[in-house]
Amino acid sequence: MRRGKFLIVLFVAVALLVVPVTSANPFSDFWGRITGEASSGSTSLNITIGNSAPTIPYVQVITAKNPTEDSTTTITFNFTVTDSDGSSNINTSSGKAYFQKSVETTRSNLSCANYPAVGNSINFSCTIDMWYYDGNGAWTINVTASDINGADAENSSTTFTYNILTAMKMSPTSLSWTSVNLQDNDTGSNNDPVVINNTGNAESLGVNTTAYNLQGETTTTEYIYANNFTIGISSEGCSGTAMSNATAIAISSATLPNGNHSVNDGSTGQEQIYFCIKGVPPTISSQSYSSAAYGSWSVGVS
Amino acid sequence: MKNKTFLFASAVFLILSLGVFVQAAGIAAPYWKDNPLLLSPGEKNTVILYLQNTGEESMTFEALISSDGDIASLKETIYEVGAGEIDVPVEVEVVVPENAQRGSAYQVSLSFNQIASGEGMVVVASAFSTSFPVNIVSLEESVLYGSNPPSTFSYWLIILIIFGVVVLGFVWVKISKKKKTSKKFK
Repeated sequence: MRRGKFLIVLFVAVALLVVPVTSANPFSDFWGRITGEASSGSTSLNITIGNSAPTIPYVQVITAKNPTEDSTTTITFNFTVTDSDGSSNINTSSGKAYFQKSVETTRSNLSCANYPAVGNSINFSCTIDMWYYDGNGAWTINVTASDINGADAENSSTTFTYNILTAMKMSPTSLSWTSVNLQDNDTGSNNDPVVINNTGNAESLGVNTTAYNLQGETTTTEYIYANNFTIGISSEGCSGTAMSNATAIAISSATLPNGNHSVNDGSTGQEQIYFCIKGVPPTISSQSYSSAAYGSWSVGVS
Repeated sequence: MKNKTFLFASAVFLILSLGVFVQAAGIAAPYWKDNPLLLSPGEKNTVILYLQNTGEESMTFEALISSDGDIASLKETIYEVGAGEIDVPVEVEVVVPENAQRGSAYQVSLSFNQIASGEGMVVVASAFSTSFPVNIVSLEESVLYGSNPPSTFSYWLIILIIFGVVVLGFVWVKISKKKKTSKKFK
């Protein structure tokens, strides 16, 4: 009998203790009430997941490059982006590259191609064109990339050298005079100026001309002398610089700047020179005169 | 007289007609006024420039060089550059005198004059020039620093060391064999 009573008491005690803990019922806060523990409540939870910004530990060395006359020089190089959160965290379409130099137009590629990942890194390959008139000297290589969470990486610690190119192109290459009489003075060509285009990146080039006496092709003892010609930068060239036989003469005030000569405004990357016959010796006869005996004239830049 | 004048004018027209081809050429160089070649006294270096021709016809150039103290010379003087070629090398050998003073500079100038062909007309040819300074600096500042091959003395020292190691190895093997033989007969 005593044993039975004991069992009943034990059962009730266990029920009173276990049921409130394991079920939501009117007794659910019983344990809380007898212990003072909070029976239920709500709380907010805020979890921050960390993100490491990527880095660019490697940019391929670019050896010195030559400009290409009147065209572009294509430069391709690689750089590596590393992310400690894993390569899958790198935004594979974020690779960008810039070539920068003070006073010069920035050349860029905003969508460098990416290679398959290797470990925590991804290699990007960038191709950028440099123009023939871009300045010579050191250009900064600036590369950037980001991860999928928007954290950025940048590396602008390296440079490459763009060499100097002294080059030119001129047109027209034929000159004519409509008529020249023995008594005429200061007769300019009717199809000048000769436009000289700077097709390299050398700055402020001087223009010089080497002229030669024109010898008579029939009567070889007769000449139109080189010093009968003047060349200048303003029409008709008759106030320009006098030539001298077989001598390179700098054309006064003629300067060929660097720049995109395709603008074709007469000054950007261009210079114009005019040719003038001051007069001809009055004693020479009517015949063909040419430079065949003494060599071609030359127009040079330096 | 009128006929004479007309004939004369015609002659002048013929004379002064020039070629119709576009001439476009230039020279690319790795050094210039603000980017000099740095060498120390007694050093020798070959600088390579590149002729370019993006015109429509092949062009031939005669190269001329001048330099302070005659420190620079050309290996070739005539260069033919085909239409579209942009990398015809021009080798300039620079030899700095042993007694050159550190801090001094030598100017090297090159000019390229087109050798143009033409008959019965005045042909206008292209010409262009480039120049660069050679600055005399210390050995460590020279562009050649770190790239010089070992001296003859270093070569002989290496050979001697290798020879010595081989001889020592041979002697050691011999002695080892002798010891083994004497132990066997004891």
